[in-house]
Amino acid sequence: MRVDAAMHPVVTKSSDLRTWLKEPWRSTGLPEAVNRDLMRPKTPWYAEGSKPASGFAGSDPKLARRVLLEEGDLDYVVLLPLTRGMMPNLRREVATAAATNEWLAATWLSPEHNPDGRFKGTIRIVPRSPRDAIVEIERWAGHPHFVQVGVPLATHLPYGRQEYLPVWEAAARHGLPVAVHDDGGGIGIEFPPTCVGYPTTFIEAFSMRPFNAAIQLSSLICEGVFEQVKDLVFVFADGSFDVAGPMLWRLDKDWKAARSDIPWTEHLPSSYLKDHVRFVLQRWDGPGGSDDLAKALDIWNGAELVMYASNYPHWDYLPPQGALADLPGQTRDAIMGGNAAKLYRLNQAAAPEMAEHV
Amino acid sequence: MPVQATALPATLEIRSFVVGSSADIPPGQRKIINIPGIGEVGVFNIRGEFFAVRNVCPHQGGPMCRGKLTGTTRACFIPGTRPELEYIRDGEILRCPWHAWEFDIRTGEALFGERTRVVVYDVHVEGGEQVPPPDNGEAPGNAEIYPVAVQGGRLVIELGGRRASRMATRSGESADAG
Amino acid sequence: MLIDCDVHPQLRKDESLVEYVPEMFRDRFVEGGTGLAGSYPAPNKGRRVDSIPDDGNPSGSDPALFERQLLGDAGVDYAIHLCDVGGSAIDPDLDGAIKRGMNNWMASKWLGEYNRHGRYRGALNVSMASPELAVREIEDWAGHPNFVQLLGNPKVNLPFGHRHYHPIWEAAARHNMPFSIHKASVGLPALLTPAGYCSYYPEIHSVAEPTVYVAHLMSFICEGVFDKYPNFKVVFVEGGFGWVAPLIWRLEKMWDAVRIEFPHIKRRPSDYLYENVRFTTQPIEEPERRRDLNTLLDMIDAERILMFATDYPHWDYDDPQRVLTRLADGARERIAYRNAAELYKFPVIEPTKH
Repeated sequence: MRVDAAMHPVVTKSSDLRTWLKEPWRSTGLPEAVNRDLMRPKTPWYAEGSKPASGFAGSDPKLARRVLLEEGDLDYVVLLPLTRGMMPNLRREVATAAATNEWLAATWLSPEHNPDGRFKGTIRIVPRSPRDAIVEIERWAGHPHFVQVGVPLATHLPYGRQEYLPVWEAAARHGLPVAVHDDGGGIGIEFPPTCVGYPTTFIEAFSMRPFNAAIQLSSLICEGVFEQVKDLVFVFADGSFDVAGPMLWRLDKDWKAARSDIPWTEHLPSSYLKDHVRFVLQRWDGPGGSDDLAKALDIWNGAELVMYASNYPHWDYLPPQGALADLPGQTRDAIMGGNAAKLYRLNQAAAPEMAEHV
Repeated sequence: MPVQATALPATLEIRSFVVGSSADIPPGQRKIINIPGIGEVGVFNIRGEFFAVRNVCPHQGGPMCRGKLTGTTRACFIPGTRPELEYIRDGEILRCPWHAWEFDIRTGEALFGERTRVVVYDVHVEGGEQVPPPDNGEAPGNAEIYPVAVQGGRLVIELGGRRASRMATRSGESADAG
Repeated sequence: MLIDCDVHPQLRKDESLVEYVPEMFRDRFVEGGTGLAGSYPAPNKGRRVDSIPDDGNPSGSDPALFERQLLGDAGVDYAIHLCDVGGSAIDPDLDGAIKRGMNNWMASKWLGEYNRHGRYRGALNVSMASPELAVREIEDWAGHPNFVQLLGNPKVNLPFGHRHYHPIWEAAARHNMPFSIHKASVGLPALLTPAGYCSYYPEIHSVAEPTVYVAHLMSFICEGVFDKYPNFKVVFVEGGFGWVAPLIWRLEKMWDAVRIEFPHIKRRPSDYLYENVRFTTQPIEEPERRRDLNTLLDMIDAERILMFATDYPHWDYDDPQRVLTRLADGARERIAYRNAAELYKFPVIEPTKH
């Protein structure tokens, strides 16, 4: 089984989303769909060959199907569309997430583009508006091809906080993992991407993401969320198994000292990963050499926690062909698809009727 | 770093060591003594009950017996909102003065995981008379664990005679070496 | 031989920093700066309980006990004092005055009166709020035999590679003073993370604080500070080092793809890491499988960049007997003293061969 745990589909052009937006949002301003990263350099943001004749790279389901499912020999691709960042007007942000789901269902997940059910989708929600987030989860949870919930990496309140609890409960109730991925800067009301302000270059802001994911992870653990919502799984989709690893060594150590301040964290922090956390693998994760990569995966239990992702069509696309080929067989198989198949309950034979969720 | 098993005599036999008179350590007090062949051991009188703890934390070797005797907390989960905490076992938890690890003074077990233990010894009072605990209106958190106090006898530490103390020598390694 | 790169002196109860602060600021100076007590509460109230003197003075304030526990019990040969008793202020002038007060106090007491044995060195506090005052502080103290590095508050609103700070790095490089940063969570305001404010000490101490160092380290490299000032050195104190591996792995892998952003940067990120940057070991990483730490250290040649520290007298003190023995034989000497001796130019006392 070979699964791409994160591919990023996008509309053909930014204004396309308006078709799915409700008024009055349809007729008012909206951030662009791509290139909203802080300080994005002039390098192409997309992988070579991912741009169709017209429209954004990653906007053509047929092309993606050919590159990933056919040429890449993948069984399933999990689509993780981005929304358009945090917006000052929360209602607009909620409407944008809802429109993104309508769009994905009507296009990439439609019978026309997804006849065999090998595209799986992500329900975009705005977790800082819990009531709306739950409505959105309930709206799509019964759809056969939505397999997870997607939330932004940047927040004004870390994800462990009780304000989000009903949202995570709703996701867990429907067996939907929650995927965290950087969502770009919408209008720029996210807090700065580092604790010490804005860096100057893209690589700095980009490389902070896995570290910021570790902040969210430590919040979830230290607030006891995984003790409160037993079936909850978080997927960190900006890479980071190798960043979370040493950070959790520190958290484990501090927990032994400060345990009585957070007694709801009943077990060693790192022990929650096995049942509650998965990391999407990016090409930047881990050391360069395959021997060293195998060592790093061994240290931090990558064989259980890590899921390959193509990140297609972004600039750091990791083609499935030959990816992780040098890893020991069992580890490679688990990362290339076994772990994702288990998490998203994907069947080996991807016939249309088989792919229907029960 | 494991607790140094070599600090104990090579042929380990049940031996005992007389600390002195139990009256020397009034309730709420502690005394750190040096036992030949063993090293420093702290003797605690907690509301009339005696405890003995080796003065070495299994973690980085901190002087355990200079740590604070305190309570701990446990979580109360409440559906739909954040958990609350409850303060429990006041005075029964010994916190290492270095890294604040909590140990149950009765068993020597770390509260974060019982595989990690500080060495504890049985203590008993020989002679003297048994008296009921003082009724000063301060009911202990769990009354059944403070049944009887002994006054005026010889305070004796049993060395090596307790399962916990032998376990600790090993668990120091497993907890920390892995 | 053993060099301890991070110890902390404290004021006695009857001592005040105010008399060491320049006169025109004394009326405005509040002991403790901007709310040291405002920090996330640390285990054991932040200090080694057995380092509290019997007379009830604060931990770290009694030179005799300090010496006995650090130079005696722990067997430290040289210790570098990082003094943060004055805190920081938002107003650059007041902040500069607080830094000057701490330096006066250190020079008079811990690097003077209490340093007859000559085994203490110190970090010169400089204000990050005012590069101009920081440079003046460096010039005024340059040549003092016992100030061997600089110390700046890492909790700022602009990462350290920005040109705002370059005058400080220029002066530091010119005087061969490494720049150290230590603890991003002390004092007001609290650390605002990209996820918002954290609730608990373990979140801040374990994860958020190290990300401050990650941001500064990337900024130093990506803004070309080490190209501009090749002999400028940075010491990251007490922020962990396990995360250095994934950071440098990432930067190395990405470097060629993003070179367009850095036409002015001549070398690779790892070159700067090994040449210009050092990390102190405390609090030592303690993975459940101890060998994992050595595997990781080995993968990034960490013995080239690590320097031992105890953090005496704070709560998460590392005991050299317990920490250094965990390291692989080849790494131990470099981490225990060689790297620090090279950086701070201490004479190396060769170990006696038995």
